[in-house]
Amino acid sequence: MADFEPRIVTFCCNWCSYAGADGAGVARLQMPTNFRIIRTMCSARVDPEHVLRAFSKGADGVMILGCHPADCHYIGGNYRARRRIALLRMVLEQYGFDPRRLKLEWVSASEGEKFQKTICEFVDTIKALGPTPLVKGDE
Amino acid sequence: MTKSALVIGGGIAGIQASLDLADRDIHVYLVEKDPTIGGKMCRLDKTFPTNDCSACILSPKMADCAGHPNITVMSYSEVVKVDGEAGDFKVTVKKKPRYVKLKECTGCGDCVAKCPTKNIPDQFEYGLTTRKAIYIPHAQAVPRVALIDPNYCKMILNGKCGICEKTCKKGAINYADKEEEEVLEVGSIIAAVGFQLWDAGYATEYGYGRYDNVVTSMEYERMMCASGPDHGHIKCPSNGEAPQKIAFIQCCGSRSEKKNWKKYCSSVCCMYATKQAIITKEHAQVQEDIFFMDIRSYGKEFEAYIKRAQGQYGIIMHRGARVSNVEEDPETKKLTINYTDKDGNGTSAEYDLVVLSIGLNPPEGAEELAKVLGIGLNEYGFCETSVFKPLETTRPGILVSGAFSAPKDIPTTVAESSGASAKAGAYIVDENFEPCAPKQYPAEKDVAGKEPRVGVWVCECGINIGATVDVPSVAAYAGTLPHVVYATKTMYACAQDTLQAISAAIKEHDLNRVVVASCTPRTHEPLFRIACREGGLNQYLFNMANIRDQCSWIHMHEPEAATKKAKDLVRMAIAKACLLEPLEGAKIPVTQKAAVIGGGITGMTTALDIAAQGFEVHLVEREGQLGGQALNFRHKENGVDTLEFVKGLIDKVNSNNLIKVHLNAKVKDIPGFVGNFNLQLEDGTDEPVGAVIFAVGAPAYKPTEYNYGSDAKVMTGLECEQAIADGKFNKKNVAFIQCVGSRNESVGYCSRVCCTTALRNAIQIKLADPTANVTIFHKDIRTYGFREEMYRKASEVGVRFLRYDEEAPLPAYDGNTVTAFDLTLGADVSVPVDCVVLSNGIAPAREEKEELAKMVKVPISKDGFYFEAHQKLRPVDFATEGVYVAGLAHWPKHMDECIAQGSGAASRALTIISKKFLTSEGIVASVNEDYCDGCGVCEGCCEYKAITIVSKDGKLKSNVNAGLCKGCGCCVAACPSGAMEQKGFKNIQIQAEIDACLDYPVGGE
Amino acid sequence: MSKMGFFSNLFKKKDKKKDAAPAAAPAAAPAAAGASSMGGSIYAETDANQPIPGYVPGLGAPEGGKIKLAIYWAAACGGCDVSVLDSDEKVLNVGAMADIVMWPVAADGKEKDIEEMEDGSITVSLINGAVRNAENEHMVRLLRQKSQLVVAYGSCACFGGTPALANLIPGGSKEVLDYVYNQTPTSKAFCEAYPDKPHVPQTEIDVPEGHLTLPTLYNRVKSLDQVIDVDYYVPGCPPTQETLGQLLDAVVAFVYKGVALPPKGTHIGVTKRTLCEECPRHKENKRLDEIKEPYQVNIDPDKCLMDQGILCLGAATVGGCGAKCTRVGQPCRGCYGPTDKVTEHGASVFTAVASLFPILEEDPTCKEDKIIDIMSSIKDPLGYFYAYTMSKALIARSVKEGGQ
Repeated sequence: MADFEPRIVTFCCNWCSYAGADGAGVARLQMPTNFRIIRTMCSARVDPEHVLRAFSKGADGVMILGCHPADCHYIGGNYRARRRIALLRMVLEQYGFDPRRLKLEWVSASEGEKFQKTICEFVDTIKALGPTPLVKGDE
Repeated sequence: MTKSALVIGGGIAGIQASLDLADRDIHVYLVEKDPTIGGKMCRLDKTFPTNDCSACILSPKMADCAGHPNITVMSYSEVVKVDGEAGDFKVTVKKKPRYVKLKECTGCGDCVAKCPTKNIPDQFEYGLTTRKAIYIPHAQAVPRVALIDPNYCKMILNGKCGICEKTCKKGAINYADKEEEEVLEVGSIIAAVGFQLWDAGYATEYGYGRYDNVVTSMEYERMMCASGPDHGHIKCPSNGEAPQKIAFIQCCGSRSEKKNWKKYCSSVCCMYATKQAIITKEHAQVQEDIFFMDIRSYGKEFEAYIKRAQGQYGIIMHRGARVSNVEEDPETKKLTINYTDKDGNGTSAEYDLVVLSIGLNPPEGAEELAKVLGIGLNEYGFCETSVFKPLETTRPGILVSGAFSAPKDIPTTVAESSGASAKAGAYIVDENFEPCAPKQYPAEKDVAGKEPRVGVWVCECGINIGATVDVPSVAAYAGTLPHVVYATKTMYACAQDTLQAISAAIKEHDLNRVVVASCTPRTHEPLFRIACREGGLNQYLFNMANIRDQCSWIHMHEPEAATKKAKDLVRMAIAKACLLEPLEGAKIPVTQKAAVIGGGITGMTTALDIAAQGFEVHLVEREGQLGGQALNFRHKENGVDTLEFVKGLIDKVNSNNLIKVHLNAKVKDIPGFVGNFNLQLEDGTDEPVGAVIFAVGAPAYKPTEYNYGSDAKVMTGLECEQAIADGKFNKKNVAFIQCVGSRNESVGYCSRVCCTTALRNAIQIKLADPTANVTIFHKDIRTYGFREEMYRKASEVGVRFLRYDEEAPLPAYDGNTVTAFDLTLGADVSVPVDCVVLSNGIAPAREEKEELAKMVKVPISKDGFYFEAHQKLRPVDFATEGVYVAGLAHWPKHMDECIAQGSGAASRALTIISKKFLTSEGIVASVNEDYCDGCGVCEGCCEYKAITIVSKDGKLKSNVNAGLCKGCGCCVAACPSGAMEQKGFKNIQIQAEIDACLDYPVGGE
Repeated sequence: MSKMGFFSNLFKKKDKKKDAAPAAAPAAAPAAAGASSMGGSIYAETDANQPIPGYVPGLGAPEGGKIKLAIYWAAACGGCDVSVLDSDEKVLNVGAMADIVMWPVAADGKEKDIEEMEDGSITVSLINGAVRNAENEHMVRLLRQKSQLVVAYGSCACFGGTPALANLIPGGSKEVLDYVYNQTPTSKAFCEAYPDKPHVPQTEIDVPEGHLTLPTLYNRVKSLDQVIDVDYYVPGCPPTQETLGQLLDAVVAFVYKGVALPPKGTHIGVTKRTLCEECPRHKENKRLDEIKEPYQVNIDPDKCLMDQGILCLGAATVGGCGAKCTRVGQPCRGCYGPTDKVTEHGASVFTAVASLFPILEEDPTCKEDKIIDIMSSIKDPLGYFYAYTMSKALIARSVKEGGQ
């Protein structure tokens, strides 16, 4: 799996994790290029449908990053998000996906380093898991 | 006719003061002597303690200033005469000739490229590079236009050249340009002229000017900066090689009796040197040593920053080490620093590069300006103010903010500038006051049903993006994508000329969507949105791709992969942009009243400043009387009794009809949102207010150390002050113990005020009884700014200082003696005492703060104080709109700082409550009633109670209050029927991003 | 406009602007196609009795005055066919106005006969059931070729229905056949008794009488429109008789009076909104503290089932059925599919369900495991929330990590 470059979709909330990602940039923390960030205002805006869509389009992994519990800019959006993602993870497992392909993590605006660490670890995890098990065109 | 306000100085101080006045609908003239606004801050690389990129956080404010309809920026101009009096000044402003027509020049730089007259030292880069006779001050200059230096221009000097005139396609060159004068009628003036740097040429012992590798801190700042002469690659000037060892020498030009040196402390150098050391470490593996006397990390989260520098970054701190001189090896150009180590031994060390942490001086021309303005200067040449009137000069109607009154850091400057604008506004707002009319933008084009026509700008951000990402190829790629009709690269997307180009291109190419690929929307989206509006496009038809912070900066060593990623990000942004719809914010009525929680000095100041502009204030105090902790103070400031001042303030509050005081009052809840809060007290009071200010203070730390309370010899600093004032203090052997309840394992921060308090008391004791033995046990003495004078005075009157190790436990006390290891003597020292004064710090009272914090959803910092929206540039704002913080609730600080911040909070609140209506965010949830059956899933998951299920024509429907909705989108994901949508983040828009991200192979094409 | 609304829904002018892919959709982001992948209902007000001016009928009047009707049963339980038979005297009307050229469950008509017909000579084919094997596919393609209108009749044809849950079997058709013919107790007994005989049906075999074939079973069960072009959808498990009547009336009105047909892709007999609109129950709580099965609850006849802890898909499911299930205390299972604003029925339901779980005091400090425990009270989420729409799910079949 040496040349496997995973395709990872990362949803970041505007206030904490997107700012944390910016913070990683400001601090010039280096990390793999495999992820693309989609900004939403809150992790609670991420509809599990968006995650399923990403997987259906061939994403090898999906991350949802939000504010730490108790730190949500919108008070409790991250609590809603964690419930939805927990249920989504059950659904993905039923499909046969390795649940590690979906990661929910909390990154604050000041945690550029945690952002870096989270990305690096997730890329490693997905590299170890290999490409998405979703095979197109198999009838 | 309503008068304007005048702000002199276009640095961060002047910019903030102008913006606050302008947002309060007062017209402002902003006069700056340099060709561009931005001051010193726009030359900085990063800012402490958050390491924010200085230019990144400042340039949006510079652009706001330039684009604000209520601000007239007069750059390259000086005030030469002030007639009249407060409320009715006539100010003569001299405009220096640019020899380039301001309105014609597009800043294209063609003339600069062709100009034959080179090698003129570039002032912006502190002479590190050169410029030409015609030049643009710097890339992010506002206004970003060229000007000619008449001292070098051959055409102006002897009429031979004229190349720039031939080159300029706009015909903007005007060699006959003349100095002009204009008379402005203004109601009040804010002098925010900042500071100048100490001339390092006086540091002969450190070899500045003689040794190649000795540079000043500001020069180093430019060397570090990615937009600086070496693009952020730090090199030894002697040979261009990367230094392996760097030394920072503190207090250059400060805290010294030497000729041409300054006696005061410059307040900011400890922190900026530490910042420079940290940032350098992030770039390269370098050994860095800082030589200093005391580390003065007294500000918010400064102490933790210093700790991080030592612990995490391994920066070597030479405490109490005064460098005697620097010597250069003429062969290698390496530098030897001779210094006294902590054991008192003379020693030396060799470095490749030495950075002199130079201090802050009064601004150039301060005396002249003071004469013109008719204001007084203090003994150091800074603007004269007093502790109780920190924002007022000696002349009514003329205010001061920022470093012109004393050396200070950026957050303090910003808070003061807001405060000065509140004071300045009070001279202008009267019963005849007419607010400025809102800015008129061109009519917005109708894009409904039209095929998307996207314009794309890909920013190089100097080399920030361009050095890693192949920007031309990204721009070319963008041009191949569907619906893109215009795609280009640009050096600085945020520069004034690009913003204008965006507006122009919207018309020229009939664009109906705009995408900018540059930095982060968190800082720059507002800027580009304005550019869209200027071009007649709804501001929500704009989208950004973050190819700097989240691409070039984090993939610096993978240019190819980063370029591919940038293409993906641009494609995603375009895909979403095509589906964006024009949005309008809702108009929300505002209750034009404010609530101030806390009736101490800060709260009373805030209330008075708001009332001074004619708005009603509810001042809530939990005790039975106003005044707060200052009621216990017994010392004088500037010869005036603090208690008298406080009583005067209470009288002013009580006699002001617009201020409703609620005593013995406890806040029950503050429901609502910006412009529409309800102040609910436990006594049943329920008053609508538009803004809320938290000025709840912070109590003194109650010591548990030294048997305080049971040992009669032990007292707190305040008790000592009271005893002295009452003439009851008669102790002979006094020990002051600093940092009780501060800078320890459980309380990480410095309480900022204790050193000054201890010195004041110690001096009093010694003056009253010169035979008394007074010893101050300390870790560092933090008498920043002019407070340094007290330190000097204390030594003069014979107060003894004993520095103990900051990592060591507090000095031991056995009931009769205080013992500590004296770092200077290198031995244990015991001092017999009959009195121990504990410099007990300030405790945050986190629990009390949390109660209020929950009501309006604001955060608390890890130290237990309120956490503002941005540590550097929004020091009194919260992320929750309409709620502000000032005084000790924000961080420990001195009385003058509390007063200035109180005024600052008043100004911020005034920007809200001075208007009858606010316009809400466009990004809110909305219900498509055709699909909604009121199942209520959304209602239950809205944290802001913005959603209610209502009956419409007998059918249940969800209803969103746009004023309460914060636009999180939680309900949208929850909605099972697809009836709920989030404007700006609609499902199809997010889906488009996902699809655009994945429908192509990794890396585009 | 639940039941009587059909006529006003039916004869809608086809709004070209709406029907065209939205101008805003870039090629890189075919989001609009996604949004309408369930087939959109397009509603615009026109006079039902007037032929639409300028309308050029795509179909001619049939010879002999009767329309030609085919009804086919693909992968389904048979309930749909029964629902046609169950239409009481209306079934006679069907006979009066239509020649039934094929209806395997009730009338004669061989594949060969259909093959011999001219293309487009069948006026309308009602096809129920999902497409699960080669025979299903062959027949629906044949009917498509011979028919002017094809209607996906019933939830299986529309969305894959219950048969499509087979998509979740990781080993596909091989595992299905293995389980049915080797693993079930009766099969096992057979296997043990006759170890040498083949246990799993073969797709081809030569016997003394000749060469026999059986259709291949597919790995993935598809909705009808994933195999052939479909003109109309009639969801329901099974569709209601009213809907069938409306459908046939519309076809007849078109053929005999030239009244315009509803826009292609219309879901017939559905409302725009959700089942909640038709459901007489009252909502109060809007939160779920505990999930319960209907048998565990003494169901309050007036309260929302969700409020009583019973997972009901009504809020996410388009109406038109008259809320038959919830009226008798059974939760909606979603057979009508989602509204046309939703791309994924299952996800839209389970996100809503997850959102109804209240925030706890311990939420700020608790670990993710605690949340996973809470959510685990929902058993078999994939089976429950995708019971009718698996073929239309974004991920329409199970996957296997580590390669197939």
